Amino acid sequence: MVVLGCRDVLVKFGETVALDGVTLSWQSAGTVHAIVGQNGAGKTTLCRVFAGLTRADHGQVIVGGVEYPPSGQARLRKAGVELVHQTFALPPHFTVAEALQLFRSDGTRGGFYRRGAIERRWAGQLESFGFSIRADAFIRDLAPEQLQAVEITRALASGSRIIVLDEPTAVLPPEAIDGLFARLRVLATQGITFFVVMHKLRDVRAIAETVAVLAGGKVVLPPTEMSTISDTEIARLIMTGSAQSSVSGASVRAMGLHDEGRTLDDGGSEAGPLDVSVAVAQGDDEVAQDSGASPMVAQDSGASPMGDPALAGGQPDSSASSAIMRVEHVSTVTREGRRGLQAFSVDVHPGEVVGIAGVEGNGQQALVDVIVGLEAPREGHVILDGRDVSHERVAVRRRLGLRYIPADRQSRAISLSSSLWVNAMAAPVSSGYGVSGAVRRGFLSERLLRRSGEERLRRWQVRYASSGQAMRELSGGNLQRIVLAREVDEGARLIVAEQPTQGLDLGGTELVWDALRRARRSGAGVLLVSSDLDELFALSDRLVVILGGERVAVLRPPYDRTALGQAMVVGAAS
Amino acid sequence: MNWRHGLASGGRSVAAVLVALAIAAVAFDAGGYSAGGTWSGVLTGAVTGSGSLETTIRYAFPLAFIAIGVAVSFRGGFFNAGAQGQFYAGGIVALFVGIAAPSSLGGVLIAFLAMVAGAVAGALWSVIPGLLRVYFNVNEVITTLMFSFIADYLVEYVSIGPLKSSAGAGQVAVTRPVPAAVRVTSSSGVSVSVVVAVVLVAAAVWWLLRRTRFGFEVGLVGRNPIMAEVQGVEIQRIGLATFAITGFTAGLGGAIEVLGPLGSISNGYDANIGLTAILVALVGVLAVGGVLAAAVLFGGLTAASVFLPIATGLPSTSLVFLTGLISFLVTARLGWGRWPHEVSQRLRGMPREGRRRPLALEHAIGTPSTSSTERSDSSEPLERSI
Repeated sequence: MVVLGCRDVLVKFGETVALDGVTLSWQSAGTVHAIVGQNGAGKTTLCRVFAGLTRADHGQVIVGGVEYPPSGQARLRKAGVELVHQTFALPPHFTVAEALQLFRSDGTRGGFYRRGAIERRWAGQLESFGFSIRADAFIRDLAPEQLQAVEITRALASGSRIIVLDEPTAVLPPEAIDGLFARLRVLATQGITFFVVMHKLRDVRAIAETVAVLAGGKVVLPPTEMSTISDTEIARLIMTGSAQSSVSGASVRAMGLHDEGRTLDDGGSEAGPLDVSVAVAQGDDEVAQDSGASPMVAQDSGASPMGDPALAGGQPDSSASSAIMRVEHVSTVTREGRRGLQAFSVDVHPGEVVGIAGVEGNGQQALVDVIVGLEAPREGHVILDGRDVSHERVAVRRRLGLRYIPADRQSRAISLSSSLWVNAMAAPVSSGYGVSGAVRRGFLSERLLRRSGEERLRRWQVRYASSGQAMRELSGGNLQRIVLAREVDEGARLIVAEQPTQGLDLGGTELVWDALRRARRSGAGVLLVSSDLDELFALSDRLVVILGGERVAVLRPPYDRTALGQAMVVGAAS
Repeated sequence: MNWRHGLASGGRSVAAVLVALAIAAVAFDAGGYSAGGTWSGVLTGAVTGSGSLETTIRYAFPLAFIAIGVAVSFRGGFFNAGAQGQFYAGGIVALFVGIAAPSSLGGVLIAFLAMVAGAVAGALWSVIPGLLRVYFNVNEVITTLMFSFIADYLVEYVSIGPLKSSAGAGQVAVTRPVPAAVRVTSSSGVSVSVVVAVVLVAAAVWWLLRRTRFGFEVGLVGRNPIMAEVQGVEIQRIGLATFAITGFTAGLGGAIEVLGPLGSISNGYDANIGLTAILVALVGVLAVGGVLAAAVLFGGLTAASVFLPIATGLPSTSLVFLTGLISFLVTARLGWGRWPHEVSQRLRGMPREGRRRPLALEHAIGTPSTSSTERSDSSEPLERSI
């Protein structure tokens, strides 16, 4: 009997195809099955379809041999596939017992309950599943692995026999992963079937009995016994899936908001496990196809070894004098007291794109914040256009030519409730550049400002009805155009582009890449922070690899995935 | 906010007031009072009766001063709810200056100095919670309200303490009066100088909001503070300035109230004016013109509440009921029309833009503020700094 499966499932988010005719089935209960794939491969969407949280546009889900068409979503939700999210959705000010009791009517008397009774009840449940967590502890005081345990308890307590864990290891400190795996194994012997979505091959190898691979919303490997397949083979399937066509890569990335919520924090920088998304795929000739769309792609992967190891020690590059921006031995400390950047140095020259590569959460955010001026370096200096701006305000840096395309578009880049022209002119007005006629000594002419905002929108071919309409009325691609209209202007001398194509479709991606290339041609420097390797390869003149806040390697084209992957997870090549 | 949104917001306010009037009419009828008689009584008390219009304007003035300043704070997303205290601070200081200044300076000059001193006192009363909010992220609703309580007691202290009138034999403690030469109006509360002051303040704030970089930045901070910071806005400076402006206009209103119609301070005077002014700012959709119109409306209701008991036998509290209805209908989110974004979000206790939203809503049983996304350093340094 099919424990869990699906047939011909299609899921679209707008124009974006997240799952493209996925057919899968798993037969054995009481085992741990893994689903792997790159960022944006559709794993999380698949999980949500199984749990009945996302409705498929087409196709059936099969649970315990029963088929559920898209119209049967409500029934499917009751079929007992429980999803444990990668971000925990527990109310922080509740106790563990209250959080577990929430939305359950059993164990209460007509909606009334006694604290002692539910605490006893859930303490017993937690213990029976082998978790040592006090039922009267507050959610906010729990460690990530304990939160996860509460979520798993919640799923199990609903009587569910099938549990889907979305990136269960991503939020855990390395030492807690073994504990989780041990727990899953014990529960599996009691007949619970687990599906784990994973990133790291080592974790997959440690826990799963079968593995299935998704790439670009399609199945590239149906569930296969782990014993019959090698790591190299799995890695190749994951990588070639993405390299097959930049179309699917880009389009699937467009659902970044729905899929693959990013949860690695600064603590997740464990160097040991090999992250399959950057792991090796030797000699994929498919990469060459990429070059059609993006001429900058290295034609010959696998040819070059590591970049210049001599530069890996954190010394500023040579010819630093002509750099438009230099970060010199900067160290930062995050709010929690964790280490951010570690004596990190990088410089960007006019007409150059410098890529920052690294597994997410290794200090990229700290680097961007220090350069933009949202965080002050504890040690070291940020030099912009020859001037030490380490402790200058954002506005001063912007006047010197700093521009910033944030990854977090909705909170950092735009104001959804403001009008288009306000968004397009926000930085020029606030920082005081490029608005000569419209703002004089703090007095502004709304008419002139609006006109110059409209001019920017026209130049970037934003489709809009009135420049006074609210930002929220525009589509995602148009929103990013407005960000570009503001940040890629004549005054731009250093553009910090942070995941600039995340969530964009192919057309939007091309537009952004084009804009950055044009900026480079016109003499601006670009610092590109991206977790999309194709993007880094396509645009960067130089790649600086960041790991645990340190600069561990510098690579030059032609780029080599193997070397980069190794540098990203274990540091400099020996 | 463009004109279409402005019109929609204004229309919503007008509708809220009309619906409140209709509901109140039904309630009055049910209570045995004739609704028709009530409304004609209100009309007489506020507009058509002899001297009624003057009384309406008299009560509209202080509301207008306070509400115009409150609108500035609210536009910036800072919920300065302590206008009452700032109004008192202005009144107390103006009274001191009015009484203590040597009369050789001349009444006009003293009155001017007293108004300026009152305005500055109001600004300082507001800036203290402002500093706490901006630099230590202390909730401004609580601190500004607490500062209002302090000001309440200062009023009590002043009225029974150093300035207590020896002539007073009434039940309420009253201070010595401001010298007649320093008064800016008679007890009617209307004079050319006060009209000029209202017009000047309204024009200045309108111009500040619409024609200066400051106004542009206030709106940006109110709608998305994190985005604003990334654009180069100095949020702390903007925040402090909005607190100062609210306090300044409230303090000026307080000074004029004491130097004008009241002439002295009695314990517990104008006890609810600060909260009514917040309502005025909201009904006026945070726009200067709208606030002025709303101030006249509420001034009229106040005037009528003085007149009603005499004319119709209705208790004056019946208009408190009406005010309550209006505030309910204006602040409730009933799905028609729209509010300036920064207000509606704060009123509903929702995060403003730029804060992370719950991620998995369908699964959510609360906001996942313990998630690692939330804790990542991407958003917190910013939130801390605003």
